[in-house]
Amino acid sequence: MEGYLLAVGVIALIYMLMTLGLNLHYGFTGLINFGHVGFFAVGAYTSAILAVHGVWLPLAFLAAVVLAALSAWPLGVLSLRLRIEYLAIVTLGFSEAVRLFIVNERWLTNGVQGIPGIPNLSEGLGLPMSATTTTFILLVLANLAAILVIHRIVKSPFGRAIEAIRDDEEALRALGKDPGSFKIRVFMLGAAFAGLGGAFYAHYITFVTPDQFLPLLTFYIWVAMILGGAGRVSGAAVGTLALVGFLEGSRFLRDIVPGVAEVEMASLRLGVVGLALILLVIYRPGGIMGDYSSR
Amino acid sequence: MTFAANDISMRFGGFLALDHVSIEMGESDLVGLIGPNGAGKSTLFAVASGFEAASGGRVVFKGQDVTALSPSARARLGLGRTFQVPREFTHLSVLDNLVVAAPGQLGERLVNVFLRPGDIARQRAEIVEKAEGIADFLNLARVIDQPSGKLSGGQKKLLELGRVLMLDPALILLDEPFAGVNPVLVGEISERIGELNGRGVGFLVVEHNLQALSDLVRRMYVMDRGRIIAEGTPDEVLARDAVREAYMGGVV
Repeated sequence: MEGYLLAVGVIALIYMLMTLGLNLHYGFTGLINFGHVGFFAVGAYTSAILAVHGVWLPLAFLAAVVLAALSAWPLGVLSLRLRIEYLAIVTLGFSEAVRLFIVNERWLTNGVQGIPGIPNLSEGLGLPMSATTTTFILLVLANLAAILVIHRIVKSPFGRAIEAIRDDEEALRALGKDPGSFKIRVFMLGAAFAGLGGAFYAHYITFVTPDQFLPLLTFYIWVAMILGGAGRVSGAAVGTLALVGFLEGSRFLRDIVPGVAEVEMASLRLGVVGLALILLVIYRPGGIMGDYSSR
Repeated sequence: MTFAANDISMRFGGFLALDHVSIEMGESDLVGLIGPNGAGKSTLFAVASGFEAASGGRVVFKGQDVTALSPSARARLGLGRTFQVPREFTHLSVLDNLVVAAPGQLGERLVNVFLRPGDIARQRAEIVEKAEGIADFLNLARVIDQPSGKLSGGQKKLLELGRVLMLDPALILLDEPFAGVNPVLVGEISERIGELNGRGVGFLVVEHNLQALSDLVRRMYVMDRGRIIAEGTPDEVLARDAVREAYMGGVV
């Protein structure tokens, strides 16, 4: 049971890094990013490929973060010219393009067969603890650092400007600011956190294949952000824990609900998540922590 | 001369929204712009502030051709504007609405956010002081910590003006400052505009409240169907038959 909880904790903390990034995009700046899993994939594959070629893990992680941020740059530039609905479509397309690139560029990514044998964090760093424990501890530290960094940013003049963009971009232009430069930087910043999550994921699972990076993951992260409350740092953290709690907790429904087969159970679990979301939207539309409109 | 719109034309398909319009304003001028709905006032404002590119003509501000400059670049030069329907940053407090508008903030660069927190804090103190001064002046001090979305229509108009004042502008394009504002507040807004003008801030004011406007401005332009049809002191302009006809359908 302890091992199980630790494993669930690792996944929750990986998701949390992604949610913190998406929250910068949508919660604070109002950018609709439906391709978050794309940045996650870039981070995972970058670190995985470098690590299996013998690159020191901290460097591989750094490369994952930087490359994920750079991959967001063109989307940031596009976001200057696109209305918000179109940005949603373009970002979704981006993440699928990343996945198809991984499927097709076999020389680099080994295609659908994926990359096995990725060193885990304890062997990669030569630490005496188990891989899961090492990953968990490092993830806790990474999330704390991410929360501190994001808190600092959103309380700064930069943070105020992106919140102004979310409320009325044109009005900010009339005040002599250039929303474009803020949007590009926010896109890259949020993507960097997803890339970091991706690197952790690759070295935890130790095996990456393209079908781990389907759009469903993006929407899980959206659910987490909305559950917790968009535009609040605490919302991203709490929402992710709530989402993983629902996803994992519903596994135990099997023990309570009689006469349900294994296959039916999978659908029932998603049904429970859906029901929880509906109830939340009705009774607490701002999310558990309340969103930016309730501050 | 502080501001000039020279020979501006604006074509939307086959429709000529602005037909060779020219406007000139001196330093710390206070000028009105009136005309019936659809006369082209808003389009002229959009061209002057850079939100729309004209089909022809030039916009000159403080001796510089700004025709090709973005709205934000024009604002940085000191050409500010407000909007007809207030566009406050709804979820930010009144104070933050003002603070966000301050130019040249170190903390808008992420590197500085982490490496120069002391300088940012010092700059913030100055900016907050300025913002509080403006809030005082505009009678917004009582609501300074409230979310701006909760303000009344008139207070939102004042906040928009306050935000522009954070830029220390040489000229403000005011789009219907009295629309939807109660009569008491109309007087107050008028008074503040007059006072700012006395300190050297120029204003070009689009407004339908002719009484309040003619008490406020020294000169007026009248537009109709994309052209300037009259120019002069409020008394002169409003006495002309052509103006009465265009503006009031000849009823008055």
